[in-house]
Amino acid sequence: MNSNLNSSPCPGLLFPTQEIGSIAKPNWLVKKRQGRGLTSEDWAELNHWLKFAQIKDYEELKELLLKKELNKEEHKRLIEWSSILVLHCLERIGLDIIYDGEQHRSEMYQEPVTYIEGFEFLGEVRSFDNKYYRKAACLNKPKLKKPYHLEEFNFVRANTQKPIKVPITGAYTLMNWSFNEYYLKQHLRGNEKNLKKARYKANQAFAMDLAKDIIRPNIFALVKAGAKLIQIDEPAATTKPDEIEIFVQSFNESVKGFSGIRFNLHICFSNYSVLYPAILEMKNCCQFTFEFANQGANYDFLKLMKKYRDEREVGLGVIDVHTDTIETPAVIRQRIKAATKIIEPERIYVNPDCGLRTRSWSVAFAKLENMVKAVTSLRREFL
Amino acid sequence: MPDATKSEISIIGRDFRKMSSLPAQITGIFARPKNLIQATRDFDRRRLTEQELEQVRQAAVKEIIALQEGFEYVTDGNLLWQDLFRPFTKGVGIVAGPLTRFFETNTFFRRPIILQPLKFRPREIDKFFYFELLPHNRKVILPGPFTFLHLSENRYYKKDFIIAIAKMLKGVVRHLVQKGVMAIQFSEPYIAYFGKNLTKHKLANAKRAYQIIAEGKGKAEIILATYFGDFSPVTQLLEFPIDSIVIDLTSTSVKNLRFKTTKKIGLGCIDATNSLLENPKVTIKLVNDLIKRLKLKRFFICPNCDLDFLPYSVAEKKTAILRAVAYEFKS
Repeated sequence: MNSNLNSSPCPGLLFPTQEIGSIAKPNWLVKKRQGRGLTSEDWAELNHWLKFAQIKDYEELKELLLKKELNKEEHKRLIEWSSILVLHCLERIGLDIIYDGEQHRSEMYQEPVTYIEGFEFLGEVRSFDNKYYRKAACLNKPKLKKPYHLEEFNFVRANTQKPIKVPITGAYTLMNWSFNEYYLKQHLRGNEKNLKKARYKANQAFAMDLAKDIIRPNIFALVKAGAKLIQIDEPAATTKPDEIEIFVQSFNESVKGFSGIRFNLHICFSNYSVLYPAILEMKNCCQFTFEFANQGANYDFLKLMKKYRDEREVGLGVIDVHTDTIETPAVIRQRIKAATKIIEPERIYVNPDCGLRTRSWSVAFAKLENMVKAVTSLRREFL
Repeated sequence: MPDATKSEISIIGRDFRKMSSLPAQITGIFARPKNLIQATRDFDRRRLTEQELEQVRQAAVKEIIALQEGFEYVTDGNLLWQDLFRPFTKGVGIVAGPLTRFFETNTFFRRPIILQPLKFRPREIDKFFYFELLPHNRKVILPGPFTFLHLSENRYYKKDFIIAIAKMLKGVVRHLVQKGVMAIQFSEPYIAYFGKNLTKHKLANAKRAYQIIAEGKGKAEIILATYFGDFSPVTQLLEFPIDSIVIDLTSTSVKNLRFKTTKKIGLGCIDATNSLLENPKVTIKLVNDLIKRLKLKRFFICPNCDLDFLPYSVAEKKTAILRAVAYEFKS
């Protein structure tokens, strides 16, 4: 399995640095969208990041924030300002591959489902403790209303010169995080005494339809608009070890035929050991971008890659996104160096474990700055 | 067993003693109503006081108890439980560890980390139940020792960890019996999920744990609930010193299920992992066929697992279906 499926977005560069996806929405955006006033702290925070990002012409943003009420277009413009600010901050920090912290999206499940006919939100289900997420049921065959990341992609592309990587929630995760009513009904007929089998078949049909009718048209639209790097987010991939094959089939269906595009797979907070050997069958995927820092920089997965002679790249998660502790450059260097003992440095990209949206901007950007510092010094060492 | 007080049995104006005839039970943490979810959120953000949150929660408990009207046993929905283990991680020698996926669900629990000898004061459990709101036919749900063993991170015990867990649970059982609890369920998803791979030795240890627990049970009914896996590979559980066993019929190949028993069997035929509502007629036929084939004398109808995996409105509907199915087997 060769990593050089498609050319690197950063030719000749060792340990390219990248973000995974989400960054928190700033207070000034959240409050303004809720119709609340801004405090002096909110203004100070905004000014701080405008200065950091070296954005000088921001009169429009301030005017919007001072307005009592905003219309739909003005709300949209405010989100665009947030997107611009994230892009400029990431550029200033020095990341090699960026996106806009998903400022246009609500979150990774609810956002896409809103654009799919056949789903209905049923209510909230517990994630953990007092944290809940809105869960939808698939009641009819899914149908895409319109490609949902296109406008966002065009905006991001117009506002940065850096290589950009679009994150998109994968078919298997959309299936796994929804109640599967439509397909289960079909597969239950005559299978009432073997619900397990009916459930498997129903989930397979659901994931494949999502891949064909939802994810592919989205990818097609992005590719047509010029996307070259696409990250398929599949945090649910290992949830049901018996269904790893469904995950692989749906991934392959989603990306097949898109030549010249670099697809990477992002999974986090999971047991990666169940992925092999099934993921050897994944086509058109040049990188596994996984969380490792949270697992104590445990690189058993890299050892598995070696064992299975899987030569794809690795997006190495070196930053824990669930703690405010800011990893020092020395710690990050050590984590990267440990990985180079298992796989070639040329196959390593460096990133946080996952999106940093649960952290404040000051923590998130400080973590990313240290990540870039660590990589910069390592590049000198490895030259 | 102490008799229930008047206020306990006349909760929301109904006398449960006259209605305890439906062979139906809830077998896990119940979903939280929308207003309780919002209240916990507001409490976490300091927009509600603890007292205000408590009012909302008690109203929810009453609602959930009302949904179980006439059931064989009634739970308070474990609304104070953040996960299957949480009360115990507040004991001595044990702390709440990292968030960990609960089997194949998208719900996470805090892995218990054992640092010192387990010392859980049984009366601490009172803080996690609403005994004052429950009718006399009260049931509580606790983590099973085998699942506790395997989902914990044991950094203290070199051996006999499961025995230590069993002894801790025995103390809790004894205390609960004194509080008038009639049925105590031990949730054991690990047993069925890994059923095919469990060695005889491991199951023998589990049996020993239940022997210890049984020493504290008095006249209470001990229920072992298996879920998230096929029951067929673990039919040896029928030889455990317990009174009832719950089988997850949504994960079990029903047509291949074979065993003989005089124990009471909980038929987990209401799928708490999918919002698709069961057709009561189809479910009644499924249960009927199974009862006849296995010659079951004693049984009850239940969800396969915690209704917490569903939104509240769906959990409510599923409980109504459970009632409708159980009604067919009332006699």
